[in-house]
Amino acid sequence: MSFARLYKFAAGLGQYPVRLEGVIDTKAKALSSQDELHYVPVDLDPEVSLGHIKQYRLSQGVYNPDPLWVTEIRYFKDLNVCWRRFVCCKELMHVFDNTDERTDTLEKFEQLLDEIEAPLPADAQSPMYRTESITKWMAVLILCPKPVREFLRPQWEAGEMSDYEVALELRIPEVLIPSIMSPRYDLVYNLLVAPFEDQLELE
Amino acid sequence: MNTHIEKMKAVMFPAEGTNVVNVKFFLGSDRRVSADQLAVQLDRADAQIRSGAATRSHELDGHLTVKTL
Repeated sequence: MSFARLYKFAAGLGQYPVRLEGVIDTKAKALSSQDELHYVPVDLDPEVSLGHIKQYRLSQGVYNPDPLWVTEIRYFKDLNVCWRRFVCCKELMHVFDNTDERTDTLEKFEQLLDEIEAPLPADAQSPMYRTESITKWMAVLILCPKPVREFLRPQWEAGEMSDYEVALELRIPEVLIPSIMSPRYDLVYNLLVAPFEDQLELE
Repeated sequence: MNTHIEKMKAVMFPAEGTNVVNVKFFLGSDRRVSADQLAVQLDRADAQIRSGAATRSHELDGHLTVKTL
């Protein structure tokens, strides 16, 4: 439901590109009760990883029993703006991970790394591992909400705009455009947003 | 064997308790990445942040020319 609320917010902006910093992330923070959110460009091996998220509790000292909830998104410092936005948006979507989906114990950390190294069949995947693909689609929906997609799709279908040109308009990686314009987008929308549409209308 | 995984497990999830609530990855171009390679990336990012070599960014979106539908 929280993600669906974020999607409704993104779709309601009626603008593109959808601004991540100070707009989407502010709303995501509020919906997930995060206290702090930081983006840190780091030197990574892009063949291994383009980024990762680390969420942790930060003590506020002996006189304050409530720790701060901190989300830190580290991304490869040499990404262009389109990839930077997509990688960070995908990692940001993990603020909506539920208890089962969070890598918050040693055993779950080991399991996630093992599954990344040797993926299991779909019906055997852990909740943690499943979020890795779901959050990519969540990021796609946020960075290209349906109203924006429907606005650009006629020109794309008519061949008047190339994948590259659509990607430039959205400031997202070109490789995402075929998926955005495919029925897979509608399938994911129906899975993640449509079930909550009636409820969201009442809010 | 003292691998990076063992080090990250001890750092992130020590016996006395952890403050880590989530860790997830965006994989790179090599789909045959190993668990140890990912642990190295995590370790290096932590080290860069601790040392001040990596600092927070406030220019995530760059310059955007926003258009209204």
